[in-house]
Amino acid sequence: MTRAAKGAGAVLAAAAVVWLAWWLFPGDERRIRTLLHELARELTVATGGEEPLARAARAARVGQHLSPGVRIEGAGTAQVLAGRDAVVGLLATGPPAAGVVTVELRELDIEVAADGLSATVRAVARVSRRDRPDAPPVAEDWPLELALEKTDGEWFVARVVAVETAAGPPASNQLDRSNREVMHVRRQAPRHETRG
Amino acid sequence: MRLMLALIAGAVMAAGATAPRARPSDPRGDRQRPAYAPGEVPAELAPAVGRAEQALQTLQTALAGRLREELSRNGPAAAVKVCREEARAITARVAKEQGIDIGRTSHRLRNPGNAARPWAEPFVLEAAGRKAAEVTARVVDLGDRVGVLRPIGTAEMCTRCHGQEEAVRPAIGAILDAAYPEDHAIGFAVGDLRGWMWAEAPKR
Repeated sequence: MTRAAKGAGAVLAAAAVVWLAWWLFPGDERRIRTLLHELARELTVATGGEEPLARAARAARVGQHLSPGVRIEGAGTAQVLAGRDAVVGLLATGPPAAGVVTVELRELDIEVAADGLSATVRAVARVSRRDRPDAPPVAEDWPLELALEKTDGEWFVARVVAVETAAGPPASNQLDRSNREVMHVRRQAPRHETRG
Repeated sequence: MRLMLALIAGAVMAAGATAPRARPSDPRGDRQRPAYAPGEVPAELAPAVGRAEQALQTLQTALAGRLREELSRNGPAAAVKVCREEARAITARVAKEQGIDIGRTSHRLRNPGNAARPWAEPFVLEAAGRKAAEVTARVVDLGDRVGVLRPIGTAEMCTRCHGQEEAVRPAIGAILDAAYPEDHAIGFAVGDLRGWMWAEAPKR
Protein backbone atom coordinates (compact mmCIF):
# COMPACT_ATOMS: atom_id res chain seq x y z
CA MET A 1 0.00 0.00 0.00
CA THR A 2 1.36 3.38 -0.95
CA ARG A 3 1.82 6.19 1.52
CA ALA A 4 -0.91 8.19 -0.26
CA ALA A 5 -3.36 5.32 -0.01
CA LYS A 6 -2.57 4.93 3.68
CA GLY A 7 -3.09 8.64 4.19
CA ALA A 8 -6.43 8.57 2.38
CA GLY A 9 -7.47 5.58 4.45
CA ALA A 10 -6.59 7.37 7.67
CA VAL A 11 -8.56 10.45 6.62
CA LEU A 12 -11.58 8.32 5.72
CA ALA A 13 -11.36 6.46 9.02
CA ALA A 14 -11.15 9.73 10.95
CA ALA A 15 -14.13 11.09 9.03
CA ALA A 16 -16.07 7.92 9.80
CA VAL A 17 -15.27 8.23 13.50
CA VAL A 18 -16.37 11.87 13.52
CA TRP A 19 -19.59 11.01 11.69
CA LEU A 20 -20.26 8.11 14.05
CA ALA A 21 -19.73 10.33 17.09
CA TRP A 22 -22.04 12.95 15.58
CA TRP A 23 -24.67 10.32 14.89
CA LEU A 24 -24.37 8.51 18.23
CA PHE A 25 -24.12 11.58 20.43
CA PRO A 26 -26.40 14.22 19.00
CA GLY A 27 -26.11 17.71 20.43
CA ASP A 28 -29.01 19.49 22.00
CA GLU A 29 -29.83 21.44 18.88
CA ARG A 30 -30.08 18.32 16.73
CA ARG A 31 -32.13 16.52 19.37
CA ILE A 32 -34.56 19.42 19.54
CA ARG A 33 -34.78 19.57 15.76
CA THR A 34 -35.52 15.83 15.62
CA LEU A 35 -38.11 16.11 18.38
CA LEU A 36 -39.94 18.95 16.67
CA HIS A 37 -40.03 17.22 13.30
CA GLU A 38 -41.32 14.10 15.03
CA LEU A 39 -43.98 16.19 16.71
CA ALA A 40 -45.00 17.63 13.35
CA ARG A 41 -45.25 14.11 11.92
CA GLU A 42 -47.49 13.02 14.79
CA LEU A 43 -49.70 16.06 14.29
CA THR A 44 -50.17 15.14 10.66
CA VAL A 45 -53.49 13.50 9.92
CA ALA A 46 -52.57 11.08 7.17
CA THR A 47 -56.06 9.95 6.25
CA GLY A 48 -59.51 11.40 6.56
CA GLY A 49 -61.92 9.57 8.82
CA GLU A 50 -59.24 8.56 11.30
CA GLU A 51 -60.52 5.98 13.80
CA PRO A 52 -61.04 7.43 17.30
CA LEU A 53 -58.68 4.95 18.97
CA ALA A 54 -55.95 5.57 16.40
CA ARG A 55 -56.44 9.27 16.95
CA ALA A 56 -56.17 8.83 20.72
CA ALA A 57 -52.92 6.90 20.25
CA ARG A 58 -51.55 9.65 18.00
CA ALA A 59 -52.55 12.25 20.58
CA ALA A 60 -50.76 10.24 23.26
CA ARG A 61 -47.62 10.16 21.10
CA VAL A 62 -47.82 13.94 20.77
CA GLY A 63 -48.17 14.12 24.56
CA GLN A 64 -44.90 12.24 25.00
CA HIS A 65 -43.08 15.32 23.70
CA LEU A 66 -44.87 17.82 25.95
CA SER A 67 -44.03 18.78 29.50
CA PRO A 68 -46.82 18.16 32.02
CA GLY A 69 -47.45 21.88 32.43
CA VAL A 70 -47.25 22.81 28.75
CA ARG A 71 -49.05 25.99 27.71
CA ILE A 72 -50.26 26.67 24.21
CA GLU A 73 -51.16 30.27 23.60
CA GLY A 74 -52.48 32.28 20.76
CA ALA A 75 -50.73 35.61 20.93
CA GLY A 76 -53.08 38.54 21.09
CA THR A 77 -55.91 36.36 22.33
CA ALA A 78 -56.91 35.08 25.71
CA GLN A 79 -56.92 31.52 24.44
CA VAL A 80 -54.62 29.30 26.43
CA LEU A 81 -54.55 25.56 26.51
CA ALA A 82 -52.79 24.52 29.70
CA GLY A 83 -51.49 21.10 30.65
CA ARG A 84 -50.42 18.06 28.70
CA ASP A 85 -53.56 16.10 29.45
CA ALA A 86 -55.71 18.97 28.21
CA VAL A 87 -53.79 19.09 24.92
CA VAL A 88 -53.94 15.33 24.47
CA GLY A 89 -57.61 15.27 25.42
CA LEU A 90 -58.44 17.96 22.91
CA LEU A 91 -56.42 16.31 20.16
CA ALA A 92 -58.11 12.99 20.84
CA THR A 93 -61.68 14.13 21.29
CA GLY A 94 -62.02 17.51 19.60
CA PRO A 95 -63.76 17.86 16.26
CA PRO A 96 -61.93 15.60 13.80
CA ALA A 97 -60.18 16.86 10.71
CA ALA A 98 -62.36 16.65 7.64
CA GLY A 99 -59.59 15.33 5.44
CA VAL A 100 -55.83 15.12 5.26
CA VAL A 101 -53.83 17.63 7.28
CA THR A 102 -50.07 17.84 6.88
CA VAL A 103 -47.89 19.73 9.33
CA GLU A 104 -44.32 20.73 8.57
CA LEU A 105 -41.96 22.86 10.59
CA ARG A 106 -39.75 25.22 8.65
CA GLU A 107 -37.19 27.91 9.29
CA LEU A 108 -36.23 26.43 12.63
CA ASP A 109 -34.10 28.79 14.65
CA ILE A 110 -32.95 27.02 17.81
CA GLU A 111 -31.28 28.77 20.70
CA VAL A 112 -30.14 26.59 23.58
CA ALA A 113 -29.55 28.37 26.89
CA ALA A 114 -26.04 28.39 28.31
CA ASP A 115 -26.99 25.96 31.08
CA GLY A 116 -28.27 23.51 28.47
CA LEU A 117 -31.56 23.03 30.30
CA SER A 118 -33.85 25.25 28.29
CA ALA A 119 -34.16 26.39 24.71
CA THR A 120 -36.13 28.80 22.60
CA VAL A 121 -37.18 27.93 19.09
CA ARG A 122 -38.64 30.13 16.41
CA ALA A 123 -40.22 28.30 13.54
CA VAL A 124 -42.90 28.46 10.93
CA ALA A 125 -45.53 25.73 10.97
CA ARG A 126 -46.95 25.04 7.56
CA VAL A 127 -50.36 23.43 7.86
CA SER A 128 -51.72 22.05 4.61
CA ARG A 129 -55.29 20.83 4.49
CA ARG A 130 -57.12 18.94 1.82
CA ASP A 131 -60.71 18.43 2.86
CA ARG A 132 -61.67 16.33 -0.15
CA PRO A 133 -59.52 14.29 -2.51
CA ASP A 134 -60.62 16.44 -5.44
CA ALA A 135 -60.12 19.75 -3.63
CA PRO A 136 -56.91 21.73 -3.90
CA PRO A 137 -54.82 21.78 -0.73
CA VAL A 138 -54.88 24.94 1.32
CA ALA A 139 -51.66 25.81 3.10
CA GLU A 140 -51.17 28.29 5.87
CA ASP A 141 -47.93 29.36 7.50
CA TRP A 142 -47.99 30.15 11.19
CA PRO A 143 -44.98 31.70 12.90
CA LEU A 144 -44.43 30.04 16.26
CA GLU A 145 -42.27 30.59 19.24
CA LEU A 146 -41.60 27.58 21.43
CA ALA A 147 -39.94 27.14 24.79
CA LEU A 148 -38.42 23.77 25.60
CA GLU A 149 -37.03 22.38 28.81
CA LYS A 150 -34.78 19.46 29.49
CA THR A 151 -35.83 16.97 32.15
CA ASP A 152 -33.77 13.88 32.95
CA GLY A 153 -31.83 14.39 29.75
CA GLU A 154 -34.94 14.58 27.54
CA TRP A 155 -36.29 17.67 25.84
CA PHE A 156 -39.96 18.58 26.19
CA VAL A 157 -42.03 21.37 24.74
CA ALA A 158 -43.09 23.61 27.64
CA ARG A 159 -44.75 26.49 25.83
CA VAL A 160 -45.95 27.29 22.36
CA VAL A 161 -47.03 30.73 21.27
CA ALA A 162 -48.68 31.11 17.91
CA VAL A 163 -47.79 34.55 16.67
CA GLU A 164 -50.71 36.55 15.36
CA THR A 165 -50.24 38.86 12.42
CA ALA A 166 -50.28 42.56 13.10
CA ALA A 167 -52.50 43.34 10.15
CA GLY A 168 -55.24 40.87 10.97
CA PRO A 169 -56.14 38.04 8.66
CA PRO A 170 -53.94 37.93 5.58
CA ALA A 171 -55.38 37.75 2.12
CA SER A 172 -56.36 34.21 2.73
CA ASN A 173 -57.24 31.76 0.04
CA GLN A 174 -55.38 33.73 -2.59
CA LEU A 175 -54.00 31.48 -5.24
CA ASP A 176 -50.27 31.47 -4.90
CA ARG A 177 -48.89 32.25 -8.33
CA SER A 178 -45.75 30.28 -7.70
CA ASN A 179 -47.75 27.14 -7.16
CA ARG A 180 -51.18 26.97 -8.67
CA GLU A 181 -51.82 23.63 -7.00
CA VAL A 182 -51.64 25.11 -3.55
CA MET A 183 -53.77 27.80 -2.00
CA HIS A 184 -51.12 29.28 0.19
CA VAL A 185 -51.29 31.97 2.80
CA ARG A 186 -48.23 33.40 4.43
CA ARG A 187 -48.76 34.96 7.82
CA GLN A 188 -46.22 37.67 8.40
CA ALA A 189 -45.28 38.42 11.95
CA PRO A 190 -42.89 41.11 13.01
CA ARG A 191 -40.37 39.62 15.44
CA HIS A 192 -41.07 42.28 18.09
CA GLU A 193 -44.60 40.99 18.46
CA THR A 194 -43.59 37.59 19.68
CA ARG A 195 -43.90 36.71 23.30
CA GLY A 196 -41.69 34.23 24.85
CA MET B 1 -59.48 29.86 17.12
CA ARG B 2 -57.46 29.25 14.00
CA LEU B 3 -54.19 29.78 15.78
CA MET B 4 -54.63 26.50 17.55
CA LEU B 5 -54.87 24.82 14.21
CA ALA B 6 -51.27 25.62 13.52
CA LEU B 7 -50.27 24.16 16.83
CA ILE B 8 -52.23 21.04 16.87
CA ALA B 9 -52.46 20.39 13.24
CA GLY B 10 -56.02 20.65 12.25
CA ALA B 11 -56.78 17.57 14.27
CA VAL B 12 -58.34 20.15 16.53
CA MET B 13 -60.12 22.28 14.03
CA ALA B 14 -62.10 24.22 16.54
CA ALA B 15 -59.59 24.40 19.30
CA GLY B 16 -60.31 26.28 22.45
CA ALA B 17 -63.47 24.42 23.15
CA THR B 18 -63.33 20.95 24.53
CA ALA B 19 -65.63 18.38 23.05
CA PRO B 20 -68.93 18.04 24.85
CA ARG B 21 -68.69 15.47 27.58
CA ALA B 22 -70.17 12.26 26.33
CA ARG B 23 -72.60 10.37 28.47
CA PRO B 24 -71.79 6.74 28.92
CA SER B 25 -73.61 4.99 26.13
CA ASP B 26 -73.37 1.62 27.71
CA PRO B 27 -72.88 1.27 31.43
CA ARG B 28 -72.71 -2.50 31.44
CA GLY B 29 -68.96 -3.00 31.76
CA ASP B 30 -68.57 -4.89 35.00
CA ARG B 31 -72.24 -4.01 35.44
CA GLN B 32 -71.51 -0.70 37.14
CA ARG B 33 -68.63 0.96 35.38
CA PRO B 34 -69.17 3.66 32.76
CA ALA B 35 -68.39 2.36 29.28
CA TYR B 36 -68.01 4.27 26.04
CA ALA B 37 -67.70 3.72 22.34
CA PRO B 38 -64.31 5.10 21.20
CA GLY B 39 -65.88 8.17 19.61
CA GLU B 40 -67.68 9.08 22.85
CA VAL B 41 -64.73 9.01 25.23
CA PRO B 42 -64.57 12.07 27.54
CA ALA B 43 -61.50 14.23 27.07
CA GLU B 44 -60.18 13.48 30.55
CA LEU B 45 -59.95 9.77 29.75
CA ALA B 46 -58.30 10.35 26.38
CA PRO B 47 -54.65 10.41 27.54
CA ALA B 48 -54.98 6.99 29.19
CA VAL B 49 -56.97 5.64 26.25
CA GLY B 50 -54.25 6.85 23.90
CA ARG B 51 -51.52 5.14 25.90
CA ALA B 52 -53.56 1.94 26.04
CA GLU B 53 -54.13 2.00 22.29
CA GLN B 54 -50.44 2.63 21.68
CA ALA B 55 -49.61 -0.47 23.71
CA LEU B 56 -52.20 -2.49 21.79
CA GLN B 57 -50.77 -1.32 18.47
CA THR B 58 -47.29 -2.34 19.58
CA LEU B 59 -48.50 -5.76 20.66
CA GLN B 60 -50.52 -6.27 17.50
CA THR B 61 -47.65 -5.28 15.23
CA ALA B 62 -45.14 -7.46 17.07
CA LEU B 63 -47.41 -10.48 17.30
CA ALA B 64 -48.81 -10.32 13.78
CA GLY B 65 -45.31 -9.87 12.40
CA ARG B 66 -43.96 -12.92 14.19
CA LEU B 67 -46.98 -15.06 13.28
CA ARG B 68 -46.80 -14.10 9.61
CA GLU B 69 -43.08 -14.81 9.57
CA GLU B 70 -43.44 -18.17 11.27
CA LEU B 71 -46.42 -19.26 9.17
CA SER B 72 -44.65 -18.49 5.92
CA ARG B 73 -41.35 -20.06 6.98
CA ASN B 74 -42.31 -23.04 9.08
CA GLY B 75 -46.07 -23.46 8.86
CA PRO B 76 -48.86 -23.56 11.42
CA ALA B 77 -47.13 -25.89 13.88
CA ALA B 78 -44.45 -23.27 14.43
CA ALA B 79 -47.08 -20.53 14.63
CA VAL B 80 -48.77 -22.38 17.50
CA LYS B 81 -45.47 -22.18 19.36
CA VAL B 82 -45.32 -18.43 18.74
CA CYS B 83 -48.84 -18.04 20.11
CA ARG B 84 -48.10 -20.22 23.11
CA GLU B 85 -44.64 -19.06 24.12
CA GLU B 86 -43.64 -15.89 22.35
CA ALA B 87 -46.97 -14.12 22.64
CA ARG B 88 -46.67 -14.24 26.39
CA ALA B 89 -43.14 -12.84 26.25
CA ILE B 90 -44.10 -10.12 23.75
CA THR B 91 -47.09 -9.18 25.89
CA ALA B 92 -44.97 -9.03 29.05
CA ARG B 93 -42.32 -6.95 27.28
CA VAL B 94 -44.81 -4.43 25.93
CA ALA B 95 -46.55 -4.27 29.30
CA LYS B 96 -43.26 -3.66 31.08
CA GLU B 97 -42.01 -1.07 28.59
CA GLN B 98 -45.19 0.94 28.64
CA GLY B 99 -46.45 0.29 32.17
CA ILE B 100 -49.75 -0.93 30.86
CA ASP B 101 -51.41 -4.31 31.40
CA ILE B 102 -52.35 -5.84 28.07
CA GLY B 103 -53.52 -9.16 26.78
CA ARG B 104 -55.91 -11.08 24.59
CA THR B 105 -59.14 -12.82 25.37
CA SER B 106 -62.03 -14.50 23.60
CA HIS B 107 -65.42 -16.07 24.08
CA ARG B 108 -63.80 -19.24 22.74
CA LEU B 109 -60.45 -19.59 24.38
CA ARG B 110 -57.55 -21.63 23.24
CA ASN B 111 -55.54 -20.84 26.35
CA PRO B 112 -57.65 -20.72 29.53
CA GLY B 113 -55.09 -18.32 30.97
CA ASN B 114 -56.52 -15.68 28.64
CA ALA B 115 -59.93 -15.56 30.33
CA ALA B 116 -61.53 -12.12 30.19
CA ARG B 117 -61.08 -9.74 33.08
CA PRO B 118 -64.30 -9.02 34.98
CA TRP B 119 -64.77 -5.56 33.42
CA ALA B 120 -64.39 -7.02 29.93
CA GLU B 121 -66.41 -10.18 30.35
CA PRO B 122 -69.89 -8.73 29.66
CA PHE B 123 -68.73 -7.30 26.33
CA VAL B 124 -66.95 -10.49 25.35
CA LEU B 125 -69.99 -12.62 26.09
CA GLU B 126 -72.43 -10.25 24.44
CA ALA B 127 -70.47 -10.15 21.18
CA ALA B 128 -69.86 -13.90 21.03
CA GLY B 129 -70.53 -15.37 17.63
CA ARG B 130 -70.83 -12.08 15.80
CA LYS B 131 -68.87 -10.80 12.83
CA ALA B 132 -65.94 -8.56 13.73
CA ALA B 133 -67.29 -5.78 11.53
CA GLU B 134 -70.46 -5.66 13.63
CA VAL B 135 -68.56 -5.08 16.86
CA THR B 136 -66.89 -1.87 18.04
CA ALA B 137 -64.14 -1.28 20.54
CA ARG B 138 -65.14 -0.33 24.07
CA VAL B 139 -63.57 1.96 26.63
CA VAL B 140 -64.39 1.33 30.29
CA ASP B 141 -63.69 3.70 33.17
CA LEU B 142 -62.15 1.51 35.87
CA GLY B 143 -61.67 4.22 38.46
CA ASP B 144 -57.94 4.79 38.63
CA ARG B 145 -57.44 3.05 35.28
CA VAL B 146 -59.04 2.90 31.87
CA GLY B 147 -59.79 -0.36 30.12
CA VAL B 148 -59.76 -0.59 26.35
CA LEU B 149 -61.19 -3.60 24.55
CA ARG B 150 -60.54 -3.90 20.83
CA PRO B 151 -62.07 -6.63 18.62
CA ILE B 152 -59.86 -9.02 16.69
CA GLY B 153 -61.29 -10.22 13.41
CA THR B 154 -60.41 -13.57 11.91
CA ALA B 155 -58.05 -12.99 8.99
CA GLU B 156 -57.06 -15.49 6.34
CA MET B 157 -53.80 -16.10 8.19
CA CYS B 158 -55.68 -16.97 11.40
CA THR B 159 -57.71 -19.74 9.78
CA ARG B 160 -54.66 -21.94 9.41
CA CYS B 161 -54.82 -22.55 13.17
CA HIS B 162 -58.35 -21.44 14.01
CA GLY B 163 -60.28 -22.42 10.86
CA GLN B 164 -62.63 -25.30 10.23
CA GLU B 165 -61.81 -28.47 12.12
CA GLU B 166 -61.38 -30.63 9.02
CA ALA B 167 -58.71 -28.28 7.75
CA VAL B 168 -56.92 -27.56 11.01
CA ARG B 169 -56.89 -30.91 12.79
CA PRO B 170 -54.93 -32.89 10.17
CA ALA B 171 -52.17 -30.29 10.20
CA ILE B 172 -51.81 -29.43 13.88
CA GLY B 173 -54.37 -31.49 15.80
CA ALA B 174 -51.76 -33.39 17.82
CA ILE B 175 -49.89 -30.21 18.69
CA LEU B 176 -53.09 -28.50 19.81
CA ASP B 177 -54.14 -31.49 21.90
CA ALA B 178 -50.79 -31.49 23.67
CA ALA B 179 -50.53 -27.75 24.19
CA TYR B 180 -54.16 -26.83 24.71
CA PRO B 181 -56.24 -29.73 26.04
CA GLU B 182 -59.15 -27.35 26.60
CA ASP B 183 -59.02 -25.71 23.19
CA HIS B 184 -62.27 -24.08 22.04
CA ALA B 185 -60.76 -21.90 19.33
CA ILE B 186 -61.41 -23.88 16.15
CA GLY B 187 -64.15 -23.33 13.59
CA PHE B 188 -63.66 -19.65 12.82
CA ALA B 189 -64.18 -18.25 9.33
CA VAL B 190 -62.67 -15.13 7.81
CA GLY B 191 -64.51 -12.10 9.21
CA ASP B 192 -65.69 -13.82 12.40
CA LEU B 193 -64.98 -12.15 15.70
CA ARG B 194 -62.05 -14.20 16.95
CA GLY B 195 -61.61 -12.37 20.23
CA TRP B 196 -60.36 -9.15 21.76
CA MET B 197 -57.21 -7.35 22.67
CA TRP B 198 -57.48 -5.55 25.97
CA ALA B 199 -55.40 -3.00 27.83
CA GLU B 200 -55.59 -1.34 31.20
CA ALA B 201 -53.78 1.98 31.46
CA PRO B 202 -53.45 4.04 34.64
CA LYS B 203 -55.07 7.45 34.48
CA ARG B 204 -52.08 8.98 36.38
